Amino acid sequence: MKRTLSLLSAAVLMISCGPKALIPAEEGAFQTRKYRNVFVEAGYSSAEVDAKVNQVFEEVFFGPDKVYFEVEDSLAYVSDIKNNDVRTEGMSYGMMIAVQMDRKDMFDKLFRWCKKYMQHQDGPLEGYFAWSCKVDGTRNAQGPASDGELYYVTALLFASNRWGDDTGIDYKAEAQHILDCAFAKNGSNGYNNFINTEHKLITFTPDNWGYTYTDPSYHIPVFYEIWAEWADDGRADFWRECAAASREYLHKAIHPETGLNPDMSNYDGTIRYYNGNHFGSGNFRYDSWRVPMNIAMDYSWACVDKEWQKDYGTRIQNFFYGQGIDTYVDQYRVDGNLPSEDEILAAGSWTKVLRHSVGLVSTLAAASLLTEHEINREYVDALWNSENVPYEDGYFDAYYDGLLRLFAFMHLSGKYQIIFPPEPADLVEKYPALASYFSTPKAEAMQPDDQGFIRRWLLLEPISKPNRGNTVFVDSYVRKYLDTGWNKGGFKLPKDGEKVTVEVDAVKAKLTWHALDSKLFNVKLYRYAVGTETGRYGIICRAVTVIDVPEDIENVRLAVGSNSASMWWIDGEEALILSGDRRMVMDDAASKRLTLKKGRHILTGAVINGPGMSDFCVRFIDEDGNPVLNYNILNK
Amino acid sequence: MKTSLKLFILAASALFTVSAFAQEGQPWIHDPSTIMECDGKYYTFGTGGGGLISEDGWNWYPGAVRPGGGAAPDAMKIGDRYLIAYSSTGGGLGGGHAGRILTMWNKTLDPNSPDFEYTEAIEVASSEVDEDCDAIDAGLFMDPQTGRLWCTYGTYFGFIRIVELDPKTGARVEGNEAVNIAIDCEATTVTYRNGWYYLLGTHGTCCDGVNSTYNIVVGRSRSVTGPYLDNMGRDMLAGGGKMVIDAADRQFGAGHFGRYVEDDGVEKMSFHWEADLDRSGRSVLAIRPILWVNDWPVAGDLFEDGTYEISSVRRGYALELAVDFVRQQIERKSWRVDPNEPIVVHPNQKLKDVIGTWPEGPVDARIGDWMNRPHQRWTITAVLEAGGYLGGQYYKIQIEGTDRTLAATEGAEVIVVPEFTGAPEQLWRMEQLIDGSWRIMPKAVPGCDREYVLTSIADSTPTLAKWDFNNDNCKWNFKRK
Repeated sequence: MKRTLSLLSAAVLMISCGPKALIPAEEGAFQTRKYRNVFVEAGYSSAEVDAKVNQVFEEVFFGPDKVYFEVEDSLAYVSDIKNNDVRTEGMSYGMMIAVQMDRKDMFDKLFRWCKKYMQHQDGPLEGYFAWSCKVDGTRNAQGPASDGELYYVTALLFASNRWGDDTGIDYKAEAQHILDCAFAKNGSNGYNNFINTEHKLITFTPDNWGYTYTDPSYHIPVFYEIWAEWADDGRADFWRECAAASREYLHKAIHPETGLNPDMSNYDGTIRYYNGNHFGSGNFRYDSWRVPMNIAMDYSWACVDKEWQKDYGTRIQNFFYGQGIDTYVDQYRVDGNLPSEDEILAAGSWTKVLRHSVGLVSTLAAASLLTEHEINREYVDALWNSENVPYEDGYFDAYYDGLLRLFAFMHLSGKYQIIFPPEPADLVEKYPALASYFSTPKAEAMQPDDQGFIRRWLLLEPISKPNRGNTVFVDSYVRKYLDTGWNKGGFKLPKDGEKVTVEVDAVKAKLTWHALDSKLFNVKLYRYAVGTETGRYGIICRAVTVIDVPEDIENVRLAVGSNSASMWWIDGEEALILSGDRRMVMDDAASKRLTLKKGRHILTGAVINGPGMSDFCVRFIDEDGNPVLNYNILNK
Repeated sequence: MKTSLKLFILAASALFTVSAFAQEGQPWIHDPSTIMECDGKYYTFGTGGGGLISEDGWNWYPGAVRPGGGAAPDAMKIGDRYLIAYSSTGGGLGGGHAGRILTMWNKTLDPNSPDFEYTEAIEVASSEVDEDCDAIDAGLFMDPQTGRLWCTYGTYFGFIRIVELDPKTGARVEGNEAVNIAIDCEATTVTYRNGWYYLLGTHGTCCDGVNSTYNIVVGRSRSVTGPYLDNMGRDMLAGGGKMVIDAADRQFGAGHFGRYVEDDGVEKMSFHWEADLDRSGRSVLAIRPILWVNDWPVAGDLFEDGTYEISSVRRGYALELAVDFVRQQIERKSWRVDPNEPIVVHPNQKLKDVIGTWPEGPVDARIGDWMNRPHQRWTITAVLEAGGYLGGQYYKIQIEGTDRTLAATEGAEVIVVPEFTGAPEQLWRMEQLIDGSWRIMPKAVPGCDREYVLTSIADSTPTLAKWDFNNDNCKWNFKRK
């Protein structure tokens, strides 16, 4: 009956050109960079949606019941008003909202407060943030809560992508610092990684007790894919494994019928009980509310667990619909029954009361990103019509309810986005002196030129390494300065415009990778350095490209000429060294025979030069010295 | 008795020191026929019957069988048979000159083979007692342009003549008239290369031991029947001839040329020395490379032990150990110094100055600018017990003053190992090419049964690769240091 009705109403809607059905996206924003505006799909005008989101943002951050407070000279905090403290949760949420809203001023103020009062600068907790402080910065507790670090790292990487790392705060370095500190801990001083490295799942807390279990509401799998993409911490593979593990874990942690999840969970997805369920750790309650929104975010951004996540959204929206869309409460046992009195968790110092909480209304509305049943629109309307105001008994949570409500508005309006780094400026346009030697790569794959030379490269800005002459470039010197391990281990292809920090002779420099195609068979590094105004003489240049081989090619050699000395690697394996005061000569030196296996290979090189011109030419030659031509050259 | 023993020892030790100049074993022969390869062994026949057999082309021993006696045979493989030509002589210099050229066939040259059986010899040419020709010293030639078979013969006694034979039967082509193509030669033969027919003959005094002035000369023609002119345009019918090989330091009387094309660009000539001072003054088999210089054949050199720069023909860089270049600490002098400042003679860099900077263990080989530095100086020494190949023996190639030895590796690359073990991958075959440069070839490549040669695959990179005479990558020059 219901089905017929919905078909009928769909037909009517089509005729009247009214709002369309709300249908989940087919692909994630990581691929499409597109976000649904579910409110607009539901019939609200985009102008009123914009106004509404802005109004909610203003309410939470600047209204009479705001949670955001600017203090001291250039600091700010987000306070959990009802608990009268400052939490890593709220601070990191505030930073995420600030970067989403492109409010660098707010972001920096919040982060400075975190850095000043919350983050441990030394000791066994170095790098972690004390999860709760008083509003004057005094720590209520020293230990961290892992969801804070999770959000900090992601928000910092987005800030790095949005504003760069040289505007006062090196956002990426801060994110890397948190991760590096996490990996430096092994439990020996009572603290561990905030990611359980065995299970590849986030911990409840990184102390040795909290390390043994997790909280389902901390799981935002796509965050790890963001880290893999932009943390540049050499752990990309690990983070991708974490994303997969997290998605798999959620399948197990969530009740198969109700869609509800417990407050605390073991890594295998079973409930983490304390003293039976006396304290309700097995129940769906405050923390848990976030799960439907987190999964909606994972779907909207990554969209790699489509069927299960859509089914999950349908289940949980159906469950609460069955409880009454306007009357469902905010705590349940995972089987759908109401908790007993002793299991109910009070909010702050309030008495134990079950409410129809705005926070849960918000996250269940966000789950409409996952569903296509007709009731999803009712959840969206419920959020739209919600207000975060005091309950009849006076209870009011400007903080948690307020922030979740803002997040939900952002998600459903398409304003909660993956922040990509800016497309790099066209280097050749920016530096016309390059134009005689280089062009900006086109999107299509390139092939070797007629003579087999590889003309598509990512070139790092020159590393300064002054030398008055080139005769010092004996083998041991070349290895010392060129074979530093920079292209080993977890090395992945740099992105055009990506910055890296390089240290030579204890001098650090932040340098940028640029994607260029050489107009000549030889890549003129001197012209590259001078043209980009990044160097001239006394330089080390690094070059990277990717070759995509359609089928195994046996018995070929990498043949290189370089001015001056250089080293070359294939997939991190040394292939060739050219020592001494070299002139650039086609096929000056060649690797031993090698087989290019079908698939992609990273070809890396480093060239060092003192005074004079610097350039290189690289190709593969076959057994007879003829060029190898049948492969593609990529820079992505 | 005692004295003769002493003499023997002297001779033996002399033999060791100069072994690179002659074949090993018992290579006693006069008028050796063109070398034939049959079932993996080499054969040559001589005057008076019999001949030599070699398993490796370097160590030769008696054992070849040719009936009929007589003088100066020649041999040629046609199809799957061998055609042998020889002559019954009228009696030599002072005797009569009624000679006869005979041919016969055999399916194999191996006297132990069940197929070994000569056909009955047939006469293909002859001379009367006192005509202007002496029909001995046959030389066979198959014209690659036409497929026609020719035979030259004759001595100092009148004309050298050429007649045509039937390659199917070895008999004289019916109605063929002999053509005079030279005078005053012995042991002639014709060969063809690059649009030219070459007539090679031996001039000078035969059969006088260490005093024989025998030497091999050549003229060339666009036609197989002549005229054969020397480099001065002088007809060999007028006694012309350009030198191919004359005496060596301790060997005299080069005679009876035979050409052996071993590989593209790798050619050898067989001949005899009338006398070898190192071997009792006996007549011995000799094999040398053939060089072609401006389309003239010239005898090349056998490799000699010594210290060398090994220079790539590709670019002219020198083979070297891939170690750090160590700078010589000699102050750079401006040309504006006091002109009266005394001259100082500086030494070259020495091994002891640098060897401490070299890694232990195997080191890559490389090719680089020649600077006469210790890591570029290769001492190359024959390894007497290692056997040989056609006309040469195996060598070890080592950094001077060390045991660091060039070796072939698995995967057909090269490396320098710290110690010479005598393993086949450390033994190298040195052959001078027709253009005068050299081919350097390991006796074996580990894990590989193909023949590879030392190759400059890039200016700076040595490897092993298949031989290609038309590719300078495969060629090297030795510059004696």
